Amino acid sequence: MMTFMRRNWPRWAPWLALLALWQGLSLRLPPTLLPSPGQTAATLWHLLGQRSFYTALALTLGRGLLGFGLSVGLGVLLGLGMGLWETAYRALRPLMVLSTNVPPIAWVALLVIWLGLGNGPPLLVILTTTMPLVAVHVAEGVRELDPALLEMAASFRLPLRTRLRHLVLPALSGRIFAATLLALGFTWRALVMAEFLGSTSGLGYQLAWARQNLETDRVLAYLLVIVGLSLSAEAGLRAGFRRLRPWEQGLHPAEGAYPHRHEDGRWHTHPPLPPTEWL
Amino acid sequence: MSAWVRLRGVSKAFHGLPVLQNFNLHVAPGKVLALVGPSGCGKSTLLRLLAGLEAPDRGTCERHFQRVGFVFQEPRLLPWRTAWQNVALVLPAHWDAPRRRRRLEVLFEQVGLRGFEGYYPGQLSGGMRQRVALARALAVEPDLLLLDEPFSGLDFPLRLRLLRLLYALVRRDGHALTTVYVTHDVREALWLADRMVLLTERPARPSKAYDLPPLPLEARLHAPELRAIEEEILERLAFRVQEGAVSEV
Repeated sequence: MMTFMRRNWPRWAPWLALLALWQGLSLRLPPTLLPSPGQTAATLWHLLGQRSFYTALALTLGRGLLGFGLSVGLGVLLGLGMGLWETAYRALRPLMVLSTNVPPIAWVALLVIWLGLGNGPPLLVILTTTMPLVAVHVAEGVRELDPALLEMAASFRLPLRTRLRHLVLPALSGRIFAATLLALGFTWRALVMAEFLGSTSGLGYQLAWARQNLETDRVLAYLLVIVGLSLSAEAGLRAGFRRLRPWEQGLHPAEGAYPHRHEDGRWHTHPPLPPTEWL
Repeated sequence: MSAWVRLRGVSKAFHGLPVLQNFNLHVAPGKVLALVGPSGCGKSTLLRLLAGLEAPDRGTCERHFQRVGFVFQEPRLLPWRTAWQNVALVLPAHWDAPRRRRRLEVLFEQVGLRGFEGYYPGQLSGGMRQRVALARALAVEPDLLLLDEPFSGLDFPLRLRLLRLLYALVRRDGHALTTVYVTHDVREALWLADRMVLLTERPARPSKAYDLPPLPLEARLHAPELRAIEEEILERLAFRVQEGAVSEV
């Protein structure tokens, strides 16, 4: 444990510094401005015992997952279409760029006017800010596919399904991963903001309500929940992608291939080294 | 029923640059044909025409084959799939798992890569990667095999070893798979082929053809008649270099 702490200090030291800063400032400021970490933790603990907290959490998570899933799914499909079909690329790219450059707050304002408060604004704000981002990333990736590999696929007359599954999607997976991580961050920010301003439920709304009542400890407690959720979602995503891209894990053969029994009956725990004459 | 291809008066240009002009070629059934020419003379275009990936601007192209196997200058393997998966990719989709496995085991045995099936291309050496590419080309059970300078990036001993492997793979029980082997190395052609056609610079035309004696590869390394052909060609090249007629060989 001690060696772990010593070796990985860049990972935990900034958090500790932040906590110390918070504690130090809270000693000098009134609790309405900045409650101490201890007080915030107590409020958080209290929140965790309340039913209303879980309702808000479920609503926010539901909206976030739905919006994020739709954005990434539609974005990948749209991006593939744009990448494979030049006309679609030329027609849609300006719209995508426009849409990503409209500040999300402007979307919230418009959507509240059009749709009123509710599920609509948060979901649509997520879609409008993140879907174009994913689509443009994927489209650029398709346009940069290795022509040598595409020619190989053509000369072996691989069916379109095989090409998509084994050539296009793996080649794009790095870009899709980067776009998905970005989309996740945008999703959280857009979601909480849209709930704050354009909804009557969810964590963002609870945050707005706590702010209105000047319950700063509650504001901070909700903030902790939101940051915690977003960090764990990102960590989950990273772990998932590492599993999806085993060819990137250094000089080790495919996982699961070893140990295996060789035809001479012996067990091989490691892959054989290539004969030196081939190296 | 062996595969064959015949080009008659074929012309092909890219962006106004003539690559082939009035080109005639017969790829005879059950023979190994080597095309030797300077780099950039249009050999790759020729292969694409033979395979039907490209249509001629003028002239006719008669193709009589079922399936074509392709080996490129670079291995062109999918970096995110193992050697095994790279070869499995081109097997007919309707084959069931046991049949696929049996076929793949035979192929990896043939190219001498048993035990390396689980490696990703990035973990294999250049020669091993090209062997995987060869296994992939053979996996489609081609009746026409097209090779585009497949071993040109490898060092000499390795190239010789792979040529020997290729020689054994395309010639079985006295008859050969219809093969077109493109190279810029005269010796590779002399060791491998039944017939060797020299190509001129762009636009490429066949300048001279040689029918080679049906010797096993070991005998070819020292056969005096092949030595004579090699010397003759080298002399002609040297003469043309002196005349300043050859800009790139």
